[in-house]
Amino acid sequence: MTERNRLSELAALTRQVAKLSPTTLIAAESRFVEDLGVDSLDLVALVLEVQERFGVTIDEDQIGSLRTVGDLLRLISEAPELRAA
Amino acid sequence: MREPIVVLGHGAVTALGPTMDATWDGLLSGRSGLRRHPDLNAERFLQDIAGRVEVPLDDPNLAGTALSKLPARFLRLGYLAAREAWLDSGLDQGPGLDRDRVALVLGSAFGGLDHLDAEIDAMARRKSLATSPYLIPGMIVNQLPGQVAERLDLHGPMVAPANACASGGIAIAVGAALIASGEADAALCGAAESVFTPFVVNGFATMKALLGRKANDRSADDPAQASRPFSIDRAGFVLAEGAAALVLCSARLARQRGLRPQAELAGWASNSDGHHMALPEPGRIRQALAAALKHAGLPPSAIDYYNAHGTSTLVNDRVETQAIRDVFGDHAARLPISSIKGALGHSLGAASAIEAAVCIRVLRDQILPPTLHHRPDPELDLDYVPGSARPTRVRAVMSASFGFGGTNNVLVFRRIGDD
Repeated sequence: MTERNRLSELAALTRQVAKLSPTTLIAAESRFVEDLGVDSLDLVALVLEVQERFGVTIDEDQIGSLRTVGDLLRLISEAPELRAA
Repeated sequence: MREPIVVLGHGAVTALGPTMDATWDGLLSGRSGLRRHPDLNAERFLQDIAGRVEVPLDDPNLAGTALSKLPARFLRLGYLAAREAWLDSGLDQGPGLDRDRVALVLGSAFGGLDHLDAEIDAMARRKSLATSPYLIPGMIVNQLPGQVAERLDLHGPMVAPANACASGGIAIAVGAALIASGEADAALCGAAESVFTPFVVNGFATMKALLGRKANDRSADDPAQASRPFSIDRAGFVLAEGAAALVLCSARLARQRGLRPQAELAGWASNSDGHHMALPEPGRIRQALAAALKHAGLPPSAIDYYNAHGTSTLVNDRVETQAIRDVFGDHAARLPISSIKGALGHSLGAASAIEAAVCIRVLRDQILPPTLHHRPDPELDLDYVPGSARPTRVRAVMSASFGFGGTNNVLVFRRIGDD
């Protein structure tokens, strides 16, 4: 999967989990809390879904340091499952 | 004399429709909201006949809100009913409403058990032991008043009665008590329920409280006939989902804001059996009916309609009929009694809130909803308003509800201006 495809899939997943309106723009720079209104519970739900969808393991202690969609994308890319591939 | 408490608004979402108007029209025209539901399949459920709200509950205005993320259906149903009641009340029109003094008293017997059921499957699929972070917030009963407070910007005292099948009636009584004590100026009260999970359906069926699948039952040919309160062949209740809410306030506040009350909540009473985990206690039920009359300051003969708990179980309908005979004496033979559970099924905690909302319509329109599918039982010889709606003069009505755990609640509503 290309980085770009991964971003669009992550954006769709974020929209679905946080029930964002179809008109909300989601980019790598989007800040979860400030730009998207995605709160700390939503982030936990999103990371659970990400692990299932992308088949990766993410240390849940890292959730607290996620600020943007790009931050989560980076965690996915750096997951051991994807790096080995 | 105590300051009267009045009803300013009401709303309901039931198997007969997503609004109070739809529910009331359906009841008066003798329609049933009960049918078979293929997803309640025989591999997992002991009954597939149920009363469900069959309109989409999606609301684009809720995008991104907590309500859109919490899948427990009782929250969505309860919010819709509460919003309808709140808009109906007119309390939001004009300035000066003290939103910190509007109480939220909205309950449920079970809360978000449907979310738990779905999450058990999701947990089995996940590698970790994590649950959805929405599970706990969505399961707790007081998330219903919590979400209503958030959406409607109301901030008075919050109570979430979990009194089994009396939850809605208790919520109305508690809301009235908060107003009477001066802790609140108004109260948005009611209940919501939606628990189509194997635990709940099969749990009630195993207790023989809920009618299970039966080949030789009249519901085999016509599912709607599964619920037949006060009938000789009644054999258990039919599970339903739904929600309803009333807006109560002091008569003084209604006057100050120039709002026209829909009815007076003339009296209420609640008590505890202290007797059995699930079986009713006839003596305490009798006491609750009598106490509500006394609280309303009315003699038994002043009640023109009795809206029954009437679950269609063998025990309830017999015990309730006897309690009515005992409390109303000679008037019992002249007192029209009906159970709308024949049309709607039994929505557990929500049922008594829906029944209270229906009583407001009875007083407004001077017509009684019927008990559907009734076949006379020689032991139950009162007037159950069988078959079709009946226009009549109605000045005061009583509505009763009784729940597992031994909880009883009785409400008395009166038409305004009949003194």
